[in-house]
Amino acid sequence: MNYFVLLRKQAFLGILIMMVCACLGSIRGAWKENQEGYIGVTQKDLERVAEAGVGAPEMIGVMGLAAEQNRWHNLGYAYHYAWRGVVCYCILMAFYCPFYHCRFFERLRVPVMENDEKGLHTADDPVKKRKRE
Amino acid sequence: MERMYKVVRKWGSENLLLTICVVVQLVLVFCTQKPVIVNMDGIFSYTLANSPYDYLFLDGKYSEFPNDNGWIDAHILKEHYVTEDYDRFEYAAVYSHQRYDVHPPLYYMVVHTFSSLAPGTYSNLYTMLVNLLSLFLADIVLLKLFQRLYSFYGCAIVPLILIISMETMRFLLTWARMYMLLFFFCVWYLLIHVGFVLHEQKKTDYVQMVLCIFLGTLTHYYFYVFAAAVTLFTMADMMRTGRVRELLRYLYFGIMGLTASWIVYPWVWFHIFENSQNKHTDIGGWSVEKVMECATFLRDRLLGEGTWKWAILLFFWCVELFVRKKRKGEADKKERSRLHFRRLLFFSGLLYYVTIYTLDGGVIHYHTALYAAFIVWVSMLLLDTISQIGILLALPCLKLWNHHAVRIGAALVGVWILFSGAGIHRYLGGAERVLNAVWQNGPLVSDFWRAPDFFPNHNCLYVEIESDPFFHNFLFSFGEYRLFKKISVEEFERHGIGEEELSGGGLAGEGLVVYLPKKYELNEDDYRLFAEDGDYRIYEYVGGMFE
Repeated sequence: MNYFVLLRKQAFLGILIMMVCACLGSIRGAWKENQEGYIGVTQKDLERVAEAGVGAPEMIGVMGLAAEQNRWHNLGYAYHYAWRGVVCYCILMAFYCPFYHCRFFERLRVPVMENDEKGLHTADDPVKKRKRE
Repeated sequence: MERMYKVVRKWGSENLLLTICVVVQLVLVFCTQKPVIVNMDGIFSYTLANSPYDYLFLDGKYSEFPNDNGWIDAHILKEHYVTEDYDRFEYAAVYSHQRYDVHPPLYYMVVHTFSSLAPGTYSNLYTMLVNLLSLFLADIVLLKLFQRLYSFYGCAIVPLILIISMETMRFLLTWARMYMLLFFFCVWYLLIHVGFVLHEQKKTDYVQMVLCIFLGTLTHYYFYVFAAAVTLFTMADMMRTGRVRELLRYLYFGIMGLTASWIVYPWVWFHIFENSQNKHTDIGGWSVEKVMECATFLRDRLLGEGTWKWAILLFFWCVELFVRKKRKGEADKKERSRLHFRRLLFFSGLLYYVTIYTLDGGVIHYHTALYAAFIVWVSMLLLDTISQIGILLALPCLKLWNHHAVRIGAALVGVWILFSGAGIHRYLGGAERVLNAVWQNGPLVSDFWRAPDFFPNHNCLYVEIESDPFFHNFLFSFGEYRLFKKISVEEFERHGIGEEELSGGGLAGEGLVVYLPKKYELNEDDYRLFAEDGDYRIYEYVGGMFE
């Protein structure tokens, strides 16, 4: 099996790995953001106080602005971890590629227990099928 | 006219009937909610959605507000619950608030969107529009759900009527919180699972599942509990019928939705697993008393307080069970699948209820997902019972019994018997009040709550019973005045309201209004009683010292 064809064929698995890694990254980023503590009034707030005119919040500089409280570590980490997930997937497929036609994996890929009306195991074992042929 | 007739005919009487039903439902809810006064939860909804400042309770920072002898610009208070030009569509602020709060951000973002469309103003219409939108979407989903179950849209009229017949739903529909949005996502999740149970799933069901899990989990954490219960029984069904590939695909898309939600909002981890606001720290065990309380709560919330309607429901259920047993083996595939879906609704609703009751006890709104499952379950039970009885009796008019119109009509009679239409009566009463007010240009709420309209450009002195970030739920009223000052009851007891209290701006402007706890009274020569409520009286200062 061509490696790149395999990558494309198993893309659904790649997306799953990428999403799970991004999710873990997001939690890791949130964890870091939690450790860094509360920001409060920011430099940006103070700059806005200096140029505050009509249409600025009344309490600017006294209370921190909510929008400035996000460090967005979660999204940054999610992005980086997602790429790590892609790399993991590529490595995993590189190991898997030579064994693609191995009997064990062929059996695993079979639509096991495909349902029929009675809901019984009816799918043919591909190895046995090949032998029969 | 002829053209209109053609349009109606083309569209079908079934669709027309449902449209009328949905429109009447929306109008009734709209009219009822209009006079609703926003309470503490409503204040939470608006402040978390619209405040430009970080997550802090107002009374904690009050002393730092720029003031003159304690008088602050009331606009500071108003800023917390309305959007201004500088913070319109500022979703990062909403996200930041919800990080410190214990709810996910979707509902607040929707409220913020509606508020941003009308900057500088507050109205309970904004949250009402969110509720109406959720109801409308839930209606559409119910139409699709019953179409899939009975191959006939018209059957959806039963749950649509049921939604406005239940008193509990009336509470949710008129409440400025995220529970109607949660209700919509729960019903949507059920619609997606109809396909899995009936073995008729489409590719779009999987996409919908990802979206539903993503948005549902961003609305309320109890969506996780409901989704877990439904998923558990669906997975069991898939394994029972040997649909392993389907099960794997189902899990795959479920994980997709979940991870997408956690990527966007990872704070769920801290809110749930780290218990960031110390919720659920004193969960009590189960006892005989608690089981009795739990059963009573269930009966009261689903069928009305202290009623014996549960006996009728039980009767319907027994009849259906009896008939089904008699007809064992005769039921077609669709009928068997429907029964299966009903079982799924029953057990997942029950599991959800037991879990949430264990965590929070009898809190009406936390059981929203149970109401969603119950509405669909009861509608199906009534629709199925009627047809089953007809089939069993094998009346000469057997075909007539099978006819959808008779089935729906009889199910609606069942709805009426079970719920007495008490909810509908209350809606009609509320609507009458609103329409009278609109036609006669009369007030919808008492003068007490409209006090700022009577005293424009006045200052407000508030005697505080105890420190409260929502100012005894008067925050939205106080924000409408010119200047605002609060003093404690102890201060008031020490020296009353003297000149020194009013100096520093208190006597500027058009006049002064005092919010005083009811156990105190003010001198009638200087103060005129304007209105009173449960705990407070509002006085207008008529002493005549104003600049």
